[in-house]
Amino acid sequence: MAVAEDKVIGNNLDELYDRFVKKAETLTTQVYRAKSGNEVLEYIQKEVNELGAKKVVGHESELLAEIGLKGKIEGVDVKTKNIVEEVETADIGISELDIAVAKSSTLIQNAESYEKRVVSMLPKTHIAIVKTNNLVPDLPDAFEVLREKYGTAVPPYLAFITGPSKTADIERTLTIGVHGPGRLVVIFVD
Amino acid sequence: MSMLAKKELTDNIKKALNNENLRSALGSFADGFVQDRNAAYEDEDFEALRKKVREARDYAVEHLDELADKFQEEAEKRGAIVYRAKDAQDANQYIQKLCEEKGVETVVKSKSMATEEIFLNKHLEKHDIDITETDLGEWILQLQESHPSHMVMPAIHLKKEEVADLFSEEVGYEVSPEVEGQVELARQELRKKFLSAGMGITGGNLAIAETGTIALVTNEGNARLTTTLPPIHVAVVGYEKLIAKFEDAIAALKALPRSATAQHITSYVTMVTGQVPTIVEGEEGKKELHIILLDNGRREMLSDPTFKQAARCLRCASCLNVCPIYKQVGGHVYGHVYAGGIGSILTAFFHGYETSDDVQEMCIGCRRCAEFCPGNINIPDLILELRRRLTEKRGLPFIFNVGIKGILGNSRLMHTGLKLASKFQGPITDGDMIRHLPLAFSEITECKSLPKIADKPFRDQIKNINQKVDSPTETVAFYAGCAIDFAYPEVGTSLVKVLNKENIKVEFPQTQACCGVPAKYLGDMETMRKLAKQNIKALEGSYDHIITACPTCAEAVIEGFAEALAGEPEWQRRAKKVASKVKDFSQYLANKGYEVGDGTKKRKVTYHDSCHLTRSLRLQEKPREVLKSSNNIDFVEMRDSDICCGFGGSYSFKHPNVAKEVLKDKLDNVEATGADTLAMDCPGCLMQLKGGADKHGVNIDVKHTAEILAENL
Repeated sequence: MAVAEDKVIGNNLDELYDRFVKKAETLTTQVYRAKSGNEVLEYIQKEVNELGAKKVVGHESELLAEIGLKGKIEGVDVKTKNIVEEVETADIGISELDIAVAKSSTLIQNAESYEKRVVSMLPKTHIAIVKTNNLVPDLPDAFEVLREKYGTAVPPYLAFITGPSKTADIERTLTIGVHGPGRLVVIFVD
Repeated sequence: MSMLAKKELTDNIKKALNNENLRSALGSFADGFVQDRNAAYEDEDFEALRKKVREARDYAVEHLDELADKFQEEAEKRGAIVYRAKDAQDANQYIQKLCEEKGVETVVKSKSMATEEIFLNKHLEKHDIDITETDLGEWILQLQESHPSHMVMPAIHLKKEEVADLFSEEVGYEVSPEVEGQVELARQELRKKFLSAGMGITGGNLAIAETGTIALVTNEGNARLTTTLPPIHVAVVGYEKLIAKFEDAIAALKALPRSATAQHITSYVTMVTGQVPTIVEGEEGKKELHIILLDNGRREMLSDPTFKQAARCLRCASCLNVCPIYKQVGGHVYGHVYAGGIGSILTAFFHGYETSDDVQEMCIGCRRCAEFCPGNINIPDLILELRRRLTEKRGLPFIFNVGIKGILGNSRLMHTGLKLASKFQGPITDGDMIRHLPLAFSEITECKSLPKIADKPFRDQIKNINQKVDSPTETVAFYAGCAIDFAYPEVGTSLVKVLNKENIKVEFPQTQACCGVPAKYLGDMETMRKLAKQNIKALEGSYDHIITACPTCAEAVIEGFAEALAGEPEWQRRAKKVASKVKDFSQYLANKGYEVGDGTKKRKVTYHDSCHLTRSLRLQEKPREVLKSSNNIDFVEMRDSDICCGFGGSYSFKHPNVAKEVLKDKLDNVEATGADTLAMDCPGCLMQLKGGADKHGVNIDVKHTAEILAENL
């Protein structure tokens, strides 16, 4: 039984990462692991090139500001200011997510900021940046983290994201990318 | 039920059974669902999870006012406006007035059963407010001016060709019947709506009191856009969605997607807690949030000692997905917003008792849904209770009144009548079977031949059996039930033969009568109580055990009698004493370590699990143990052995055309095994499957386990 397997996984980051990847693969989520900010930029560059993206928007969290998206990606100007007007026509949106749940490959985000929210909702590709340290084994662990951090003052908008947007509403044919992004890329940064 | 409603139901059933698209969609879905769903639960303990779901909801029901107040307080503290709507009109008017007040002309909506239930779209359209469904399936149905046939997959009954026609009409150019393109078209068309809407309306999967949070579960991401883009958000949430603590959400978030779509979690879970920042026309501000706590019959349901458990429904629809009846007819036959078994219960409270009268009748009582329900709701028992209350209100239909009260309830009259009938059935019998019934009854024999009434019932045959058991190790009473007594006495004589061989003496208390289940299933508890008392008196002798060979009768004696006599403590005590002695035939043998001698005929046997043996008595392993003990029996399992054969007591007579389709599925599975013998432990199933095999020309021996064991003894 896989229930026993959970216990084995424990809190070892490498194991949690492997578990996340294993589940993500079944959902067509692309996962990378970067050792540094520069490596994050390399993976973003790779996605931009492969998708032939013309327009990229990013929401600058502390981490993303530190990595510095602006001017680092060849061929596109990454917009991080006044993105509300740009986001609807962007090919890629980049934002930081707060918690990663290994078992279900779920990302959790305090999405109080309107800009942060639309960056992950409207473009066809969403690149999610997560600190590897923020991996937890299962959903109850994530709730524990949220409880510790916020108590009952939970953020007004909490977003849980697992894989791309999808539907099976026509003849139960699984189709990726309805209202949200059809491609989800997760870059873990050590 | 009124004649009109009855006619409408019959017509709907006919239409559904003739709809090939629907049948093939539902068939392939049902076949794959259980496997996928079970795989999704491989890493979670289903029983532990549903216990948590149950505890969270039960707690909320017991503290409903407290939690509703707390929810309102916390949500309002965070800037939301909470409105308690007593019914559909109240909720609809609130939203309409809000639109008018704020000058909202266009609204987007994400999937919500509660707003379907109150017919919100119709109401807003009547007031010239443009409302668009944004869930793909719901949008398709809105274009078709139709309604969902399934809670989770609303348009499961439509083909992509039909979708193409609807889309072509909407956009004004030819759309091809290709799903990926259709989804892209929906994305583009609905994106425009999202960006221009003045209001977003959602339902709510959970309402967390502690924090005033609404949780929304979707795969497409439309709830995220609905709650983010328009400047006003209105959430319509039923009282039953309340839970106390933030952490109480975990079990529901795990169980709902696993049971609904075999996912570990949906693509998106959105938790909205109070007002959230937004940007409208370049201006930063706080988004307006209105939460409507909807009653519309819920509070009555939640305060009803029997029906309050329906609050545990997560709207996953797995009860529909495993229902052998739903598989045949789909959701529209039920004629209401909420389909299937749980649907008839919710409909009764949300839309009025009488409204559910025709739909509750669709339940065959196989209990499979209860096994799968992540809220651990005893759906079949709730339907029986609903039926009982409806019958109390309007009485039994005339024909059943004569049949059930007048004949079933009077065992002497029934036994005499059946004996007489056995003499006069000559013109319609053909060997051991009745293959055609005249005129009005012909539909019944269209799918299966009926057994003829035995020339000599078991109650008379036993008198002439010379039981050569000189010093018996045990003396048991045999409670035969009507089907064995009057249709299949050979099951009874086989049983006696097998038990005698084991040095056990069998007595047949002659005053035993029908177990009363047919009356109970029609909602007639008065007759049930009368028969319970008569049987208790008959079975109270000093027997070592009471043996049954019909699981429905066994269930009646074990649970049904005491339940029916709950208001009469002395009778209930006697009922429980009798109940404690009951053993089903195969169980009795298996517990004794019985082994079938190698003298039996060589057979390749497949086994049909009777609903009540499996899901009420939980004895499905016992007959297998017994049958597999013989070297001469090659045992093969069939696919879906636990799915109902379509008999369901009076069901196969009430809805013969539906029962026929259920039967056909079963016979297909039987044939696929290549077995020469089909075994079971229920005379009701025996009637259905023996008759079905005969009618469909399936060349197989259909036998009760007792008959197989008695061979060559």
